[in-house]
Amino acid sequence: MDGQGIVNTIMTLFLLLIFAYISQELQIWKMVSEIEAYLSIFRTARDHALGVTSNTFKKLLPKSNSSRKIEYEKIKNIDERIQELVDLTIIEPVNLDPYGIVKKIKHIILVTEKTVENEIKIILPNIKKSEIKNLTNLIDATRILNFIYKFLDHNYRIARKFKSLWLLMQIYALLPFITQEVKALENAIEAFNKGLPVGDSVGPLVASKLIKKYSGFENIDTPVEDTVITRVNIDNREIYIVKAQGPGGTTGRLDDAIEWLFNNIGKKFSMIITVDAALKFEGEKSGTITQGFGVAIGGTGVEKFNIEEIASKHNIPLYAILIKMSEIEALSILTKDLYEATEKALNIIERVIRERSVEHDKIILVGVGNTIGIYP
Amino acid sequence: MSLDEKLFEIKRKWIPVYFILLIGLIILAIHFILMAYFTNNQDYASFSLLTLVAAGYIGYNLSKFLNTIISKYTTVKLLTCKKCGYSNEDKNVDKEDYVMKEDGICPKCGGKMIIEGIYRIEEKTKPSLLELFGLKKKIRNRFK
Repeated sequence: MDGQGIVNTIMTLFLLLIFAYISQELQIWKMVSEIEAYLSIFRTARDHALGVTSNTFKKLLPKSNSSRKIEYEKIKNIDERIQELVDLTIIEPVNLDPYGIVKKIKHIILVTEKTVENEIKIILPNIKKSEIKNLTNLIDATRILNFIYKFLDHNYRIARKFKSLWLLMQIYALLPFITQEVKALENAIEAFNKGLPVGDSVGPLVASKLIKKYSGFENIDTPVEDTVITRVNIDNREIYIVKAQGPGGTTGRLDDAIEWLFNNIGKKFSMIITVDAALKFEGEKSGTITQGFGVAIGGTGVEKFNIEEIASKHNIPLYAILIKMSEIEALSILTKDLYEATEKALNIIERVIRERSVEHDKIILVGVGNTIGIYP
Repeated sequence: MSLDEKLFEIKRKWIPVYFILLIGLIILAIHFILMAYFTNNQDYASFSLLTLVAAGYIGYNLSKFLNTIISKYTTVKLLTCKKCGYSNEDKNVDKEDYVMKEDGICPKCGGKMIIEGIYRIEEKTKPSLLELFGLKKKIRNRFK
């Protein structure tokens, strides 16, 4: 190989190295610009949610004849209080010794709920209970949007600071899922602000339709906070329908209500049926109904655990009716497809009751989900 | 501005760029084809092929933009008469409305109407070329 040949080989290798470097830099630039664009969108979504929450509070403020300065101070104070509520942090109990952790989680959740509701009552003393519930939902959705933005921004800044391609790649890979969640929460803000049923409300909607169909409105009782229980008769079976108390946005205390039924009605129930919304796979059609075994309740798992405990203790079969939907649909205003699915679910429940029980049986039916915009 | 609107706005800004690029690449490809034909130079044929591939890629992306479908939602309440079962969809949904609330009188029998359901109906529309190029600003209203 002559001198020119060596120079050419070195030059080729050098060019290859430069191309490899440029290609990686281009990849990083593409990822950074896309992450930045999404971060700005998520920030807009968070700010929009904060604006909607703040405006809703201000609209509900009692009208007074006080001076402009006092009114301005009041509004400023409200904005600060809302920011405090949005920045709230819920600290999970320690799980080094998991025994009894469910009780601890439930305690923390109940304390959080009560405190937020009391805070809202202090800011707006003259509003209805259902409005307090809807405002609590609104603050919860804003809090999650705020957390998503802050968490993503934190990771992005760390990745940029240490010029870590792998961290950037992880954020980039998660973007579609985070975007889905942000879209869902953004739609939830609209639904919670207007107090209209969301996709997750299909469970309470089915329960409400059953109550109406079998004239259960007369027997409604509220032995447990935020939860209603009523008794109806379907084909000579005694059905106890349990659902969160509407039309305010709450998921109720379904486990406590079932415990109350066992303590006050008796222990001989032939089955517990739960109706709930479930996440569909991408290829599935919204509103598809599937049946299952077990307790169909999402969330922290506290209620699910407690109902499973009661059912296994008394050897009661657990049946589930699931209405499939996407994450966005679950938090957006109910769609017509999902509304029509509740009619089908009603027929399936009636069939399950007829086929899996005998006359004079006692059955518990639980409408699981947020009962926003649905009475009773 | 909702997330969907913002994403669409970001995409929409690229439409004129893609359009200009496509026209430029087509002109360049024609130029290379003509040069290859008149000079019989193989290099021009290769360049024209590469330019056509690039034009195809840009054209495919542009067609994806142009086929954007926008969903418009209308929230309605389904009112049903307790007495005769007559039902109709009403677009006037108030903040105070909820399912199972008594709402109005039946136009057929005069019985009490009840809100049987509140849901939204999706309507899919395709924006016109003028709207996509930002010459007509109706897109934002479609999301409401």
